[in-house]
Amino acid sequence: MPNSFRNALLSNGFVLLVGLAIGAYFGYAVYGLLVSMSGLFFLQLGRVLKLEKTLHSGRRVAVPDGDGVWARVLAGIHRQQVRVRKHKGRYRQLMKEVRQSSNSLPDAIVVLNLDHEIQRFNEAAERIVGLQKRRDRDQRIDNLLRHPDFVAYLRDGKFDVPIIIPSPKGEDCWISVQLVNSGPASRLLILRDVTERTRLSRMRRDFVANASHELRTPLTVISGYLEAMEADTLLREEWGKPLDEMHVQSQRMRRMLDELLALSQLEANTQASLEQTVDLATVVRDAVAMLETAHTVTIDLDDDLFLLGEYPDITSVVTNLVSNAMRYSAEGTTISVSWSLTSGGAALCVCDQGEGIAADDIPRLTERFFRVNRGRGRDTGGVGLGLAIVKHALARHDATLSVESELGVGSKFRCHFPMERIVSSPVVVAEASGGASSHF
Amino acid sequence: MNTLDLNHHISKRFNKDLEDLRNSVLAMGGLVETQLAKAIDAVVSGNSELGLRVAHDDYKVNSFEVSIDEECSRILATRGPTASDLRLIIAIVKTITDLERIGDEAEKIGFLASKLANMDRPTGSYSELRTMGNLVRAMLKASMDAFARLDGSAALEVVKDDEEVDKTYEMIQRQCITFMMEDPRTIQRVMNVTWAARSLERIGDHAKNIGEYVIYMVHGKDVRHTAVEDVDLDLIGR
Repeated sequence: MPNSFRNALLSNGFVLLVGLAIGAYFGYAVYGLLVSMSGLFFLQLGRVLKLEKTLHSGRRVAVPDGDGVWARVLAGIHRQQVRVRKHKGRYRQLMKEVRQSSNSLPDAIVVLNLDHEIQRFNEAAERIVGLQKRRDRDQRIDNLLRHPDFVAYLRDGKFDVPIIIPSPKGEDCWISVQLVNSGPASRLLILRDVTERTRLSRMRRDFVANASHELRTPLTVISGYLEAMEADTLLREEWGKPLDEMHVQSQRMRRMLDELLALSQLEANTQASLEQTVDLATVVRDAVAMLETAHTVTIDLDDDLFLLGEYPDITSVVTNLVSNAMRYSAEGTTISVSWSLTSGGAALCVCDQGEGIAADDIPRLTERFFRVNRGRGRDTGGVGLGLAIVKHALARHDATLSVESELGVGSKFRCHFPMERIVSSPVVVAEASGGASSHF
Repeated sequence: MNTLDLNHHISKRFNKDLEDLRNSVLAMGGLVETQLAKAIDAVVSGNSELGLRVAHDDYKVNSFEVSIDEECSRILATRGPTASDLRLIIAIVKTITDLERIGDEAEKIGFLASKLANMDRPTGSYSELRTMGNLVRAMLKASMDAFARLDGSAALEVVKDDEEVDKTYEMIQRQCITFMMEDPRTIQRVMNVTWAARSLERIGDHAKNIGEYVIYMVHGKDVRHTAVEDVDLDLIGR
């Protein structure tokens, strides 16, 4: 650098000296200096302007030969330009690959900012929810996906589980939607087509419902004849025991079908109504009174707590839990039932001093036909669907079931209801269709 | 003039107010779309409970209308909007009225569904209502999408689609009259079907109105009571 700097200084000094000498020769030394200075000035200005023009147009600068200041400056700029261009190419390639891989994903991905405005999306998003390229940028996602459940999902901000909503694409198509925080200022919305899955689970549910319904008719015929045969004294002498057994088994089968049917209905319905109040304390008292037992039952109920929900569901929850407690604990032991306020709502607890359940089995309790001890439940008349029904009935009431148990000590079944469903006085049931029928 | 950019105001609050307002209109639209879908589903699947639920939930639509209306008056009073902002507010005020009416019609269909569910079901199980219902649903969805995207040409499509709905309505009516003449015992049931079809046809009209408001909002041109063929296509930017 100092070398080229000296060269520039020397050549410029030389031009000035020549100007001065020529000026002096004609007797105007100062003018000669001025003319040569302004000549140099315009020369440099021209080069600067040319550089500015090249940079502005985005072209690469041409590097002149030699080792002057200008050559070095231009070479430096040239090097920078080449480097930037190379990086740019690499980034463009990378972006292309990212875009290609995101486009080849089967799930729709939409990048949102914190105001839920659409920033970018892949091709699956166009296909699954019908977003339009360019047009939908900066549009709020809930302007286009307007389902109330989704709007509430965005508003509530609980993004840990996906929700399933009808697809805007058409009838009987379903998508699952989940929002993921992907950075300080962006969120990813992942949409998945779950039409097939939803249809399959509905088919399964319908099949169970139809099959149990259809099986009831032949069973009615069989038990009708059985009753007639049992009344026949002659027949009874010889076939008494088998007849009794057949009767018991046909009753059991009927109960099983009824429960399967009830379960599929519970699954089909989503939310329990919020318009009715259930007097849970009375439900418990009635259930305990109805189930004759050799157990000591202690009840501790808060009579001022009412539940918003549906009677049949809550009755079956209480009956199932209490009769289970009786079935799986020895006669004479104590069963306690309580209904009280908790921190986040209210809870119904049923505790027994029975045989208890192994920790490994607890998560499987609510599976259909699951039994801790095969054969054990059948002796006592259980079908194996009770806790599955409890689980689904509670789910309809936004409630959860938790089980604590210790082998040989006893079990505690706890149903926790959220605060939204708890009231301190029975609501006067509003006429659900109030006034609306006047439209006709 | 042709672009309704809501972010052009100096006051950020005003931008946000307008954006939120638009957002709540679309949320209301989403609710109404769901109500309509449920109502049609209730008729077609004979689900009385679902029908009554739709009828009951109409209050949600109504409360949306009231709150949006209030917000519009507030903006009119405090901001004194002009030009495209004013058109936006006017279009919103009209749109929510139509949305509310659609909600009412869906409520009626819900009631009819619960009545029809308790009567004999015909062999076709109301597939003609399903067809018409899907047409109307698509129209309502397209009109709300056009509203969200400020898309004049999509709105014009909605206006055109109404003819298809009207034709289907006429067809269902003829069919119903034939049924009633063949067997007078079905009159009570078939009357309910015609009422439901009538409601769907009204919903189609309301969706068409919304499409017209969108055209007004985007282009500042009132195309109501104009034959679709006469709408100046150049003006709509095609």
